[in-house]
Amino acid sequence: MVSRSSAQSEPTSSRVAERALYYATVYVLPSAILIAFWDAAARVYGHPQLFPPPLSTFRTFVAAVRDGSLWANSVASMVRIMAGFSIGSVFGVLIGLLMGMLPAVRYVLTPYIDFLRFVSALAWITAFMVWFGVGETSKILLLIYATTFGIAVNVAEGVSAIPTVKLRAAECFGINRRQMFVWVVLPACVPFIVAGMRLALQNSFTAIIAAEMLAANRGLGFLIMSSRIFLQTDRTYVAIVALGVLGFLTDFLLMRAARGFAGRYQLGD
Amino acid sequence: MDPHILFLDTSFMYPGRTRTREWVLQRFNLAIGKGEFHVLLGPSGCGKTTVLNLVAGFEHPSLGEVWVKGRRVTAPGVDRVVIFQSSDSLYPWLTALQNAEFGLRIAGMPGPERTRRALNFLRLVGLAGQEHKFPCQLSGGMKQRVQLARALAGNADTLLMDEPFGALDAQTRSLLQTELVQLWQQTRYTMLFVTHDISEAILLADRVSVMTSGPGATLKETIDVPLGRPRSVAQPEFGDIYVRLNRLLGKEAA
Repeated sequence: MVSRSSAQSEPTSSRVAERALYYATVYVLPSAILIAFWDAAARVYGHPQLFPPPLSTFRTFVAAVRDGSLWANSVASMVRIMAGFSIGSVFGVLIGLLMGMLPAVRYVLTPYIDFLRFVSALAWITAFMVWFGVGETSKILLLIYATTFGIAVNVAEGVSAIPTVKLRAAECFGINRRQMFVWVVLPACVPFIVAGMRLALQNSFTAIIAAEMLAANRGLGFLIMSSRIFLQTDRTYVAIVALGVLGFLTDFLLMRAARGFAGRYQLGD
Repeated sequence: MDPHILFLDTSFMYPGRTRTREWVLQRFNLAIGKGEFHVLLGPSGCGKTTVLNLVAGFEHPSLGEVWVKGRRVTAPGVDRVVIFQSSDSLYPWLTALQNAEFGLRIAGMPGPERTRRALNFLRLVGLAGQEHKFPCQLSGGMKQRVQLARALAGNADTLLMDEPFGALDAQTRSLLQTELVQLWQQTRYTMLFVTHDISEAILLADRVSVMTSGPGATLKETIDVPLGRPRSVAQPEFGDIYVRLNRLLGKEAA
């Protein structure tokens, strides 16, 4: 679990080769298999305009990078996701901790949360547009909605999953409520916070595409929708791949950050 | 002399659990002297841990009273510290040293002094050189040693041990039993040690209290263990005491 000791050892050339091999098998090889499979399927289908093969999709990708449209749409989506996801994460963690620590808060909020977490953000898109307009506000609020409850439920679960002996061991030393929260409850919940944020990030990606497909003039969802209308299927494929890659990278960075800032809180026993 | 730990007609039932209104303990009476090594022996599930939790102040008697050093127990206190069976009681995000310092940090002891004191106790329990490891990098026996160091570093005079060696392999257990007795002889803590292992009870205790099986468990009999220390299972008297305890316990086994 702990990489501390291995990080201290010298990065020798054999270790670099080992890493290269690792990334090749874990990332490059699966991508190659996927692309080969995609190419074969497109050939069998035999209608490049409806099911474009990898190569023509790649050409469209290069064109979309050159004219800046891919970049602009990706940035539009990512800004919305980052804004909604980060605000929603803060709300989610706060609500989750309060629910976990204070039974009164848990009793009051549980019915609402258990109702709302089954209502996908997608179901609210129209309502949110009516209430908050078609602009950025409604989209960011939608992502806050998509983020908050999942994290809150996870974190509340995390608080109640703290083994009683961890709390009692601290009580033996006369710990007060504030110290208990900062020194025991919060660190013990970190794995649950990170797990909740990962799921919420995924929810944000799902929700923003749907919202942008319905009402937006920028964003990857808009790119998919507008390309569909003009039967530019290859452009929707570019957007789909971009979406997957962005999600992959964001998740990777989130996990990197979690390990960097809070790695020791995720140690197993 | 006033007893160090005193149970007066203590009965316990979990509050609020209305479905099974069952006594866990019923009219439990016990007096433990200052500096005594007292072992509580009983069949599993009989309520030994509940007895310990009542002294620790984690649970409160439904009827009767628990006294420690002439004061009624109403809450946990820094004079009594528990060594739990489960190493879940350590904080996996803290190193062995930081775990050992935990009680001192709560007490507000300044950093350097705190570290010095915690290091001393880590050394005392045989963990010199391991202080910067995390619990997940330590063996089961070492984790229990960290718990012990954390407990000793505080200002307690009473150690409450809840089957602390129950999850360890036989050799580690035997080693820690020996070391615990040596430690107790140097420090003279008052010990309340819970176990279901008869040999462990004889090796450690000044006196052994045998409990009846639950529900509504109570004290069956307290016997002296008049063996010199260090003890070993090879002592001839060991077998006699074993047979006696086994007979007392045997009638209670489920």
